[in-house]
Amino acid sequence: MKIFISFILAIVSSMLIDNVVLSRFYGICPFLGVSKKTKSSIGMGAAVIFVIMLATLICWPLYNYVLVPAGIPFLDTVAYILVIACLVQLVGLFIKKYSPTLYKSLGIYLPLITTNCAVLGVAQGNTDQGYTFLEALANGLGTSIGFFLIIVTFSCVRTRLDSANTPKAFKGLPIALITAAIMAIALMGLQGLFSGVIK
Amino acid sequence: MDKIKREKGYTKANFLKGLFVENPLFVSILGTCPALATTKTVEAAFGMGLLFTIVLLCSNVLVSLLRKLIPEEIRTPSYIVIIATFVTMVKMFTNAFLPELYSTLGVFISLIVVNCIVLGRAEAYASKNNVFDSFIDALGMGVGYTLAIILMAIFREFLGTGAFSIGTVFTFIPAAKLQIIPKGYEISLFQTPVGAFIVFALILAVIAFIKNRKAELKFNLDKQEKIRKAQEAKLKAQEAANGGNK
Amino acid sequence: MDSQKKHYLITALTLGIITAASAAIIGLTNMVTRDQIARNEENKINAGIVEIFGENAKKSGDQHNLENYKYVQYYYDVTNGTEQIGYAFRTSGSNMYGKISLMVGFYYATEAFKALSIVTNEQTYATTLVENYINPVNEGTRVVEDVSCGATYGARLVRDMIDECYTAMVEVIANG
Repeated sequence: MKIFISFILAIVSSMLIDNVVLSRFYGICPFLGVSKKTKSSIGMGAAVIFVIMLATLICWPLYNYVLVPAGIPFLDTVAYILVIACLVQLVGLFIKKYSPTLYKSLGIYLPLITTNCAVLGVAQGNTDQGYTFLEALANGLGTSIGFFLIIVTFSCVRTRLDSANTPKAFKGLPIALITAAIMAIALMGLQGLFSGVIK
Repeated sequence: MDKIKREKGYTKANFLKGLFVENPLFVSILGTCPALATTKTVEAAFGMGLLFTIVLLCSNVLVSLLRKLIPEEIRTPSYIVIIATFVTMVKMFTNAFLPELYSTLGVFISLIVVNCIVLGRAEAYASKNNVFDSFIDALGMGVGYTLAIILMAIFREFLGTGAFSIGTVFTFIPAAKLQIIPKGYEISLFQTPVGAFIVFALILAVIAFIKNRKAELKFNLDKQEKIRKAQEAKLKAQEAANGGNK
Repeated sequence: MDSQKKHYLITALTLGIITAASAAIIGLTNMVTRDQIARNEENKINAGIVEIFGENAKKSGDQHNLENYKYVQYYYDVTNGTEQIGYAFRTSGSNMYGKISLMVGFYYATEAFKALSIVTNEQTYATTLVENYINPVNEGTRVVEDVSCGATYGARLVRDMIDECYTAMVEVIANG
C-alpha cells in the first residue's frame, strides 16, 4: 500500500510540482513548435507518452542487466539514443498504418520526437540518479503525462492568443513564452503540496 | 586567383551567418532546452557553450570527412551515433578535468546529443560540403549559440542575484564576486524557471522590434524612391512635350 | 538480386563498423579518464573532511556503507594521525528545489555535531541557503533547528539530514 501511494505521489509530483516542461525544461522545442493547434498537440502528447514509456521499459533493463554486468556502463548514451531512434521509427510506422490523418497532421514533428529532450532526459536521468525499476517507471509516467497535460493546456491558450491584440513585436513566439512563464508561476504555487506527506 | 577570392568572402560570410543572420537560438529557435536550463550563471552558460561548440566542431568535421562513404538509408542513425560518441567523450573528459562544471550542468551535457542544432548542421550542411567549410560553419554556429546563451545568462544573473561571480565552476580561476545591485534589491524571480521564459521572450521581442523597424524604414525608403522616380518620369515627359511643342 | 543484397550488406556493415568504432573510442576514453575521476572523488572527500575537522584530519580505513537510511550513504572514521577525533557521514537528499549532497561531521568524544561541508548543491536557492543557513550553522552563530532563513525548504532538508546522521551515529556507536 505504501509503495502504491509513493508511486502515485511520485507521478503527481513529476506532473505538477516539478513539471517536466515548465520547471525542468525538457521538451521545449515541440512545446513551442507543435502547440499551435490543439488536435496535433493531443496527437503529439499521446505519441510522446507512448515513446517515453516504451523507452523506459527497454532502457532500464538494458542498462542494469546488459551494460553494467558487461562492464560497459559508459555506453549508455549511445545505446539509449539508438533505442529511441528505432522506437520513433516504429511508432511512426504504427501511426501511419492506423491513422493516416494523424500522421499527416503531425508531419515533420514525429521524427522530431527523437530529438525531444524529454525522452533521452528521462532515460538518462533514471540511470544517473540510480532509480529502481518502480521509481524509473514513476519518473517516466509522470514526465510523459505531465508533458501531455502541459502541451494540451498551452495549445488551448495559444489558439486564443492568435486573435488577441498583442503588440507587434510580441506577436507569435514572445507572447507565447510570456504565457508559459505565467503558467510556470501558477505551478510554482503548488510547491510544498506534499512536503508533509512525502517523508 | 578567383577561387581564393571566392573562398575569402565566402568563409567570412559562412562564419558570420552563425552569429547574426542565422543565430541558432534567436533566429532558428533551436536548442532552447539547454538555453533555458543552464543560464542561471554566466560561468555555467559559458561552460555549456564551450562544450557544445566542441561537440559541434568534431561532429561536423567527421561527418564531412565521411560524407561520401555513408549510404543514404542509414544517414541519420550514423550521424546520431557519431554525435553520441563525441558527447560521451566530452562528458568523460569534463567529469575528469572539470568536475564542478560536470555537476553544474548535470544531465544537459548528455542532452547535447539531441540538440537540434548539432544534428541539423550535420544533415543540412556537413553532409554536403567539404571539411573546411563545415569547420567554419560549425565554428560560427557554436560561437553564435555561446554568445546567445551568455547574453541570457547575463540578464538572469545580473537581475536575479545582483552580482557576477566567477571561479565557482572553473575552479582554476580565483573566486571573485562583483556585487552591482545591493543585496535585498535583486529580483530573485529571474533565477527561477519563470525568469528564464521571461528573459527569452523579451530578447525575442526586442529582436522582432528591430526587424520590424528595419522593414518599415526600408518600406518607407522604397516608397520615397518610387515617388521620386514617378516625379522624374513626369518631368521628363513634360520636357519632351515642351520640346516637341517648340 | 545480387546487387541489392550486396547493397543491404554494405549498408548494414557500414552501420556496424560505425557503431563498433564509436564503442571502441568511448572505451578508450573511459580507460584514459577513469583514474582521474576516481582521484577527483577521493580529493573531494578529503577536502570535505579537512574543511570540517581542520588541517591534520584525514580519514582512516574504508568507508562503511549504511543501509536503511533515507539520506545517509556511508561514513568514515576521522583521525588526526594518532587517535580518532570524529565521524564523517556522507548524505544526499533532494526536495522539490533540487538535490544537495553534504558531508556531516560529529566529534568522537562528545558525539556532538561539529560542522558540515557541501559536496554538491543543486538547490534553486543555493546561495541563499549557503549564506543564511549553512555558513552561520558552521560558525556556530545559528542553531540547526532554526530553519526560517529565506531558503526554508532547503534548510529543513539539511536539518533532516543532520538529524538522520545523528541517529546513524548513535546506532554505529551502539553496535560497537
